[in-house]
Amino acid sequence: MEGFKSIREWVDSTSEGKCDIFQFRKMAGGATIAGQWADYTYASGRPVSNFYATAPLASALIGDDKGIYVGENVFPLKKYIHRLTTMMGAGATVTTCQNVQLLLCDFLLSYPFTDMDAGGEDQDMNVGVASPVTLPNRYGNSIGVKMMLVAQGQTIGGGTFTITYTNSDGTPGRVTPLHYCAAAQPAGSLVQSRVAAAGVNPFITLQAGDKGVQSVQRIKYALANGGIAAIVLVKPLRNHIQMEECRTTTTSTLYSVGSPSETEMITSGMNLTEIVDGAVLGFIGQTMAGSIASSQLVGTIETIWR
Amino acid sequence: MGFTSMDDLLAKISAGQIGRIDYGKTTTPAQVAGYWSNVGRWDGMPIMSAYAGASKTFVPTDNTSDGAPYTGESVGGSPIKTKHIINASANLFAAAGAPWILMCCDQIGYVPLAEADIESTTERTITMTALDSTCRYPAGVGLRAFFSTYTAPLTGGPNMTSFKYKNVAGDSHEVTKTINMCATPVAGQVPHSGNAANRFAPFIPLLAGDTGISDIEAFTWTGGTTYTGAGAMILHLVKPIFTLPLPANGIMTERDFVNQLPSLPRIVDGAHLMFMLFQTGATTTTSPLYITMDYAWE
Repeated sequence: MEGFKSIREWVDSTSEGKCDIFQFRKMAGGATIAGQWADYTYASGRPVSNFYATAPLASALIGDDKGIYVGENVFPLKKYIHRLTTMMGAGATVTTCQNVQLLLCDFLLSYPFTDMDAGGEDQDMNVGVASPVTLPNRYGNSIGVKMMLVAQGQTIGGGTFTITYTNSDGTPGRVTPLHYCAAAQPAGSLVQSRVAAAGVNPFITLQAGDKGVQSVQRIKYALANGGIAAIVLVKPLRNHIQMEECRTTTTSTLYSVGSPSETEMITSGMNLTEIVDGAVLGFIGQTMAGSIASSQLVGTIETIWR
Repeated sequence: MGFTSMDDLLAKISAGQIGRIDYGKTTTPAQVAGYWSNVGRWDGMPIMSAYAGASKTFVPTDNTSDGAPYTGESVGGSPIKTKHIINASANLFAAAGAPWILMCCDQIGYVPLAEADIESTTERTITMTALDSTCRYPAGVGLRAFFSTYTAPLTGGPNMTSFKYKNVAGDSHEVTKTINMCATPVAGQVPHSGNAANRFAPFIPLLAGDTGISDIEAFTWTGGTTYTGAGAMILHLVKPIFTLPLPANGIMTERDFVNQLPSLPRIVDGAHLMFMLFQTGATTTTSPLYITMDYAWE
């Protein structure tokens, strides 16, 4: 039988070698605004940067080389995160980047290169594409699949937009409420804000009653924003908090010992996060002070399966 | 009827009986120091509740009502199966306002109150069918009531001198304790909380011995200063589920309901989850609040 039936089986999997460890390192490039979210898959490092560089306005899978490698498929068994550990480190003189909230997601599908200068225009997806790429069916349905708008270059700000999509029930023509674009953002930042050009939430608000997104039909920037951005569909899996970065400096006020942030899934939250076969894992992050560009994100994912 | 052991919980989660809630709101406008707020009045994800309905008429709410996050399908069954929150986390990125207390509730329903009804000094009678054994909390056991502001009045701050309800036994009771409503509460603000005499927070007090509310009958706002302007309020009926302290700006607080604070708060089928937030200081406008929870079911 797939999965675990007891704590004993959890221990047994470790003894039997049904476990592994993988490491990642990401270094964001652009200076982000404190309190707002950014897409760590866009950052350089390991795995390689994910620039969503595919055909404009055509749905595309996120290549598995862009996700954190967590081993080969285990079907018919099931694979879970056993431990997740992160650390952040920075140079001596940079501004602080503390209390980073990380959200591990499975990156499913993107619609790249929407034109944020095209104010008032409907930008339809997959025009002329004979067989559009569809959402991977890793989860059996699209309940819980969220949308993000990821800047693919420097943005200017001041824009607003709505997105027309098909919901998890297969109903097309669903329209998000009007969203605002955050003030000037670097590439890799999440742009969307529901209330004003501030206060970015990680995901785009759906039409009332909707539980998830299957596909996107169009985006319309009611007010031009400047820049280009990808609509990205993700399945959020678990959150993780990196409280303190490690930083040595000759200025004592900037000194920070740093601490690893470790989560063991049974004893911390009882959140047994499954990694389904084919998942493309990456983080989005929200820095509470400074910019994520000031600090490297490194960590390990330990897996266990049965 | 609930998980029987840690092994049982692990097995259920391993079998995929686990779900996730992501909830994001943005403070609008700035919230007032010392007060509680109705987070559901702010926009974000899910979309803000419109609190539609006729004034003074109770509107039942469930997991399909606007403003409710998706909490998975009903588990029900016979013998009944249950769904529980296994952990919750939240943070608020705000220039000012910390520390905060976040409270998760299941909203059974609400009563919209139009301008005329919050400006009247005579008794306001609520139209509501008393809750019975079919309610998510039979006969209203554990339920509490509070007012929140939908549209800010211009001036005024009346006193509530009477709050009439039926308790879980169906007996009509009246709270005659004077409860002051604050002057010019902003959208979302709970006007009877705050730092002043005769304030009660977050809920309206019940008579001694009462364990819940099965029916909201009437209230009277008289004395003090009558509200003016095009204000509107909401009278909520909720079941508190859990609280989460948010000690500082941008500090994600996590609570593990299995190992850290074993309690496994239950999400009853049909629950309309909503949140209240207490702010020690004035909370800056357009501050993002992000909440996430994992739940599992048998």
